[in-house]
Amino acid sequence: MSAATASAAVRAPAARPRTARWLLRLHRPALVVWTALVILGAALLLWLAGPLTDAAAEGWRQYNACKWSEKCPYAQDAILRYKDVYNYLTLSLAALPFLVAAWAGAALTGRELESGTARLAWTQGITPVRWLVTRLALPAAAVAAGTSLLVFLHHRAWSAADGRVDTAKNWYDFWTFHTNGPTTVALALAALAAGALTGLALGRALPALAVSVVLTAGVWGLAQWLMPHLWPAVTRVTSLEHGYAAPYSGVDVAKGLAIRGGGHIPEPECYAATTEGCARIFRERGAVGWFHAYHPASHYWPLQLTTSAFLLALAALFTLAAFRVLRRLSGSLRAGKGATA
Amino acid sequence: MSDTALGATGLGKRFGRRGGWALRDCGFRLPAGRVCAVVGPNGAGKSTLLALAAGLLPPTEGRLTVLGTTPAAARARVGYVAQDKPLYPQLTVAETLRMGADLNPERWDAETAGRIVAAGPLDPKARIRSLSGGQRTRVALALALGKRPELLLLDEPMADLDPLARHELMGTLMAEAAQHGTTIVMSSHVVAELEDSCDHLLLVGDGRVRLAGEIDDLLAAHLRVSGPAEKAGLDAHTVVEDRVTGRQRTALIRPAGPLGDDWRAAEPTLEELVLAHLRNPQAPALTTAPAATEESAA
Amino acid sequence: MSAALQGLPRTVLRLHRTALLVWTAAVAALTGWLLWLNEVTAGSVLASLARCRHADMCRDVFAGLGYSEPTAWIGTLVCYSFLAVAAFAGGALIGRELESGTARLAWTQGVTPIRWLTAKLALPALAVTAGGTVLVLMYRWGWGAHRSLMGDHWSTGDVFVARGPLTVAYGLCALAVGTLAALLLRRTLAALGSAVAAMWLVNLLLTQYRADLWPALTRTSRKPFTLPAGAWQVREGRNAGGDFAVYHPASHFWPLHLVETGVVLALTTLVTTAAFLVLRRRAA
Repeated sequence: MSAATASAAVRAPAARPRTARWLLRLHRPALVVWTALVILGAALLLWLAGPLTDAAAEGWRQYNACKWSEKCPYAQDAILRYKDVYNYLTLSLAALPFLVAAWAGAALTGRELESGTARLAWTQGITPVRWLVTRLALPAAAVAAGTSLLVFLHHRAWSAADGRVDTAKNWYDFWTFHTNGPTTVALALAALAAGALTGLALGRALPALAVSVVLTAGVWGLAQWLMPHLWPAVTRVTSLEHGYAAPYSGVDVAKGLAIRGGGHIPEPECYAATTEGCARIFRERGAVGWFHAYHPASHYWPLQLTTSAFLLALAALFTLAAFRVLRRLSGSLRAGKGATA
Repeated sequence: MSDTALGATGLGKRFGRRGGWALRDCGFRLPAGRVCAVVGPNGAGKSTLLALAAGLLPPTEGRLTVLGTTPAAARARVGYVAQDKPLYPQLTVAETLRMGADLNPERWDAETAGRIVAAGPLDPKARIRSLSGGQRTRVALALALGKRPELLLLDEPMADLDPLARHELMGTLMAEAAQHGTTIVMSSHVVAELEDSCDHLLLVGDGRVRLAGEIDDLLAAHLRVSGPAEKAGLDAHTVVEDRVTGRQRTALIRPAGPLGDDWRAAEPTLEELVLAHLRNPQAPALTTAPAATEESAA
Repeated sequence: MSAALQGLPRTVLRLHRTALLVWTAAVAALTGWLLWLNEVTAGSVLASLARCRHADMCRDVFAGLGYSEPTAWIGTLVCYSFLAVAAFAGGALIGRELESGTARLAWTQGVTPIRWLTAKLALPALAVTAGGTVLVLMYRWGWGAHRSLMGDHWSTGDVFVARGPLTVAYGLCALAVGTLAALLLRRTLAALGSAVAAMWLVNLLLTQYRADLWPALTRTSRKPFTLPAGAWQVREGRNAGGDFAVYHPASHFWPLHLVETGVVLALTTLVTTAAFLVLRRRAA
């Protein structure tokens, strides 16, 4: 038709629209806030791992050096401060994925659909597929990078206290377990995908915000419930006089009495006057020993990786669903096909 | 490269599984290079039609070809301005235009876009959220025209503009059409304005196409006749509207043969044509350029 | 004008119907959960613990967790309900209306901006007060009913807030802070985020300095001593006079609580006044 387009066809292959640059420009405030949060969290975690742990360890050393009956001067403030800062940082890190879900639902997709600027983008040279891919890929990179850094620093801080601070949390303590490893990163990515999906499905910013937070909480609950079962547990049977094989040393899967024939029953109540009395009652019931299925410390990484894999699978599912919703919203995704019916 | 800018066969769109039909059984053909007015009452389906053509909605039934391919495939060559003119409130005017340039790297015409914005005059550093309705329309049009589209779809573009701006932007659009052969499809309420600039008409009422074709052809196909009230004899022709006021009978008809002597006949104005069809939805539709016909030689 | 005023509360109710339903449902759910815990769960837990006492060993020590963990969670939810109120006030209540321009719609329909803001704040304030009061009363009953099964203390952060009018005060403060943020920023998501962050900070600061709100008692002695039951030990150490401990006895709960309530309510008044001043300047 016109000379301009003819010569453009003769020129070099098509330049691609610079979607990444505009995504960053539009969500600049969110990026700034995220970077500030990551930097602040990293600084606090470094402070926790260094000076605070040292001060608390010194306090515990003083406390343990005391004998029983002496008056004991020890640095209680340092110990309490360590405990408070550790708890705050752990809970804040665990809450980060929910913040990501809220932002993704409200600002990333919900507001764009509500105000019509998504359509503006689709008629200005970005296909819907490209639009959503950019919107998922770049924030996923930022979220994964930031959360991974914080999780790594948290693990480092926790390891620094291991053995030196008596009241440091165990590896299997609920919040510590998750903020020490990749499950929090995987949850953050699943939260991003869940938020993008609810924003597209609901089309309005504030409802999408609320629903994506609730959805992420549901995903979290599901992952918690499944986690002990995602890796084969270690099963021990000990004699009735001994008690459980490994109490308070790992993630419990099942506990009870082992019965003849191989199975196990839940621990019944026993109100005898002595230990032998209970053992006798249990034997009458057919028990042959204590049954304990648990995950010891060596299962830390398998559990982390399988739970992360589960969460990433959910993230992939949400992403697929988001593309399906996008197809329904815009009629067609690709701009490369020729004339078809 | 097809000669048809926009063609529809049996096009229908329903929102949701139990909603009403926004468009039903629409068929028309718009040749390339025309300036087409889409006219109709509120809720007739004009916005839906334009959104379908822009590739933003999938049709429920029927077929729609844009520039010879599916609407989605043609999106790069189509410019679209929605009725609420969505823009990013936090960007400045200059950034909005730069975004347009970045997103359409090989097709962007910075001069045209800049000229439209400068004629405002608009401060390039002003944020979109601080602009008035008319100024936002100007920026939205600049974005659409800067893309150098082959087909331009405008949903009530002149709604927010003052008469001077309307006149000026209309002139810009017509110049664009003349210079680059852009096909322009514009929906509006104000028929009188369109009469001078548009050469093609699409009248949509209640989700159906009532009139489609070149305005000259459509006007030539109708006659406004008037005569005494008692006089009959219009049954041989297709009667669009028939009104009796006092002792005078006025009717708009599509003549199927010669009229009697007592009738006074004249060619209707576009406004009379449109109003008559809108007032009488039961009148049969007239499509002088139906889809799925062979391509006529240019 | 008077006709518009009568219709205004009804309009506010209609606009924020969903939020009111969610709030009522949340209050009802927490109340029901507390009732269940204390009527049903506690009974069975106490029974198994009682049977436990007649034996030298007890294998059901952790049955109490079925009662204490949910009660602790309920305390956290009641205490931090003000964060949800801040998000609502900054986002849907004021922020969205200013961003989309529907506030101007109200102002050109016969309602002055000041009356509009008053009506917008009155109904949510009522809902927050009523819902908060119900939650606090239920929680006080639930927390006190089976003390033997719980291991926390009246000075624990969540428990301290949830056992008195401080919960309602934080909720009202969140309402005010959200409104001011929305009036200053005029954008929904920015106001929502900053209101939640601001309220979280306010709560953090007050929790840190909570012990200083009322003069604490000090006890110094050369011989070892124990503090009275239920006391909150703030600090301890040694000085020239021997060992000393700074503490708040259990009788200091209400003074500490009411002083903090007063601080929060004073902040609420300040922020609300600022909000009305900003509105008067912006909208005249």
